[in-house]
Amino acid sequence: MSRADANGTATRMPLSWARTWLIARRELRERVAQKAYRVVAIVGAVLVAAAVIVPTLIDGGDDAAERLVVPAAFVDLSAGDARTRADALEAAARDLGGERLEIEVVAERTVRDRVKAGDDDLGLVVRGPAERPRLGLLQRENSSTDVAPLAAVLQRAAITARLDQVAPEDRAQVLAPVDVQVREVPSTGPTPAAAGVVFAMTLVLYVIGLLLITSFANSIVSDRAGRIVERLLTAARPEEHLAGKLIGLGVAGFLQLGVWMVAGIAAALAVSGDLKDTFTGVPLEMLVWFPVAMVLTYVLYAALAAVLVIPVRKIEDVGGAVALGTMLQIGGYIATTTIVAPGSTVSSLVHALSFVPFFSPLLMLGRLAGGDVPAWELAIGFAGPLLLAVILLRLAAPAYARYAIDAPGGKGVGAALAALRARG
Amino acid sequence: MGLTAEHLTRRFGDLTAVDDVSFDLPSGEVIGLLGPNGAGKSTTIRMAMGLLAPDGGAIAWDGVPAALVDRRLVGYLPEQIGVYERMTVADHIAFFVELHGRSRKDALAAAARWADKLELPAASSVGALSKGNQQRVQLASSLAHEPELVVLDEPFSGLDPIGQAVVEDLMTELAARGATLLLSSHDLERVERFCSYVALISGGRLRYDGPVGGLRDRHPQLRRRRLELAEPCPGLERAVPGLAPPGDDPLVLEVALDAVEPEGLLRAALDHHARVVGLAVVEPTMRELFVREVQAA
Repeated sequence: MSRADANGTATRMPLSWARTWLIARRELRERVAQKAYRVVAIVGAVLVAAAVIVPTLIDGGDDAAERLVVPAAFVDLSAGDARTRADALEAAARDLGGERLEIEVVAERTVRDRVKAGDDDLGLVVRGPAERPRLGLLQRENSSTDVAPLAAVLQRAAITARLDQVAPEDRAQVLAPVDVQVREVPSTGPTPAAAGVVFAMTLVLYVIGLLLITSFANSIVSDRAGRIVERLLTAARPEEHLAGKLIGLGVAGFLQLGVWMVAGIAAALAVSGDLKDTFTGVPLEMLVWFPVAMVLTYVLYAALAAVLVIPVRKIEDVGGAVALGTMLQIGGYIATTTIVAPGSTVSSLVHALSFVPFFSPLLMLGRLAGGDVPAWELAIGFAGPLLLAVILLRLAAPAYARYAIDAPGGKGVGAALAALRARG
Repeated sequence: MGLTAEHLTRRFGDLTAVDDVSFDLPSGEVIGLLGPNGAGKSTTIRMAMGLLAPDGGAIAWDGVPAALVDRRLVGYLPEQIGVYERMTVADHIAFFVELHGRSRKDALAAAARWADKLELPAASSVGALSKGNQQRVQLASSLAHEPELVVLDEPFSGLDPIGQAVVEDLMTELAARGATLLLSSHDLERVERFCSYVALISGGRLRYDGPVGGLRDRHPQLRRRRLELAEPCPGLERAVPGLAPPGDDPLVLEVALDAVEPEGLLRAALDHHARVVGLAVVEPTMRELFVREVQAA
């Protein structure tokens, strides 16, 4: 009846991947077969596609895309006030056609800070008098914006503006080429492109955290309330049941998410023809980490939910029981938003938090958006959540079996810890 | 697959649900687990299935601790219905057969066979069935992998007479192929009919374990002498102390076996011109034995 080792001693039924996968397959099939699942997948896909397409349609008639706003500082104003010179440059650029240039006059330091922070792609510093200006075009480090056309426009605009300042007989002298220097400004934090993408990814991870994990927790309590778990645990080990459920529901959730993402990508392709603009400047490591972070987030928080719902009897208590998980997710989300804005820096606190398993998936994603993260740190960010998830599931399994029939009731961390401490 | 318990104890807070219970039940037999509500039967069964760990003592199948028994050889029907309502009947049965280690092909074949055997619509979703048929689905899911050890906790509850007859047939079949069957039920007549051994628990303590005949031997005073008459004879009842109809039928009279010898009873009947059509010794029913044991506890 029992398995025996070499000494003939009875041993516990070994964990079986076949049983785990069987349970996972059942969960997946049941979930996918539900009408609500398919409706949410389709409606979600439509909404995502609409979110991509509608803003483009609304902005379609606007000339905003053709307007270029550049912060500019005018140093050495011996030839007039800054606004007048800016107006002259704008007018000259307009006469030359092409992009509509708008110059926002600011202090020189502001120009540098704004470009550095990623608030603006380009900045302009004009030195010297109007008849002999030197134009410094500041560009963010690693920026993908092609500055050559703008430099040419500015050069010609400056020459035109300069001509207006001098008598016709002196114009040949001032027609000498104007030096336009392009300099790169060191950047901090993500590029604007990376910031947009990582913000969307952060949101997706957050939503996964909330939806999939609640769904997983509901499913555990539902099996208990429906009494099926008593029957299941006489055929499979609790670890297999929890892991199978986690895998099945996870795959179902990620399939749904995949449908939404495909819809979003298809819509983006339909609108712009390619995704080059969307992902230019987005670090490859970030794109690779994102699916890893999705899986890690789900697995870790689902394992935590498995522990938190041990004492729960009723479905309506699930939300309250997994509140700790929800709070941790909100904390991770808030911490991540502080580092995903262009020009933001990673504080030492956030850096330290990125090694805490509950925050690693999100914060490592945010850090990757802003720059290189050492491989060993990423390895910790990967292994930590995975290891903790396994520990939590192993902790939850005996208690899950113990309360297969009658859970003690109650919710919250205290009730969960008491349930864990109780013997089987 | 004999079931042995040694000083088995399980507490829930201040309540001792099973208190120092020891028994030794043989393999290959149909064993009845009896006891009033709250006696500790289900707790004992859950410990026997390895779902609960004892607080004290041990419970083992053929010497193997219950928690370590290979579940692939075990079939368990819980007291309450627990089914996946969205699955079809065939998928539900096949899932559990596969979970017990059979191949997908074998599982599907077994599912078709058992759906047919229990007269269940294989393609219907379980949630669309009546409670009785859901109980049949649960039964099929517990037995279709052909276990060596079968534990049935109140298998007749929720079933109509036809369903009960089906379960009886299954139990006969299981017993015939030598499976060990542990049956917990309040249906004492069925327990009496099917079980060769019983374990009786009351108030968390074991009151008896052994052959059904041994339980009768513990209560000889419950054996009765039955006299059947062709027509009523009120004088006879007055003449023999303790002689009275056990039910509503005035033509059937009973008296404690040791209260009067058969010759004395027949003589009294002749004296009162009673027309006797039958005289027999009646063994106590399982219900009487059960009540007596529980009252004694």
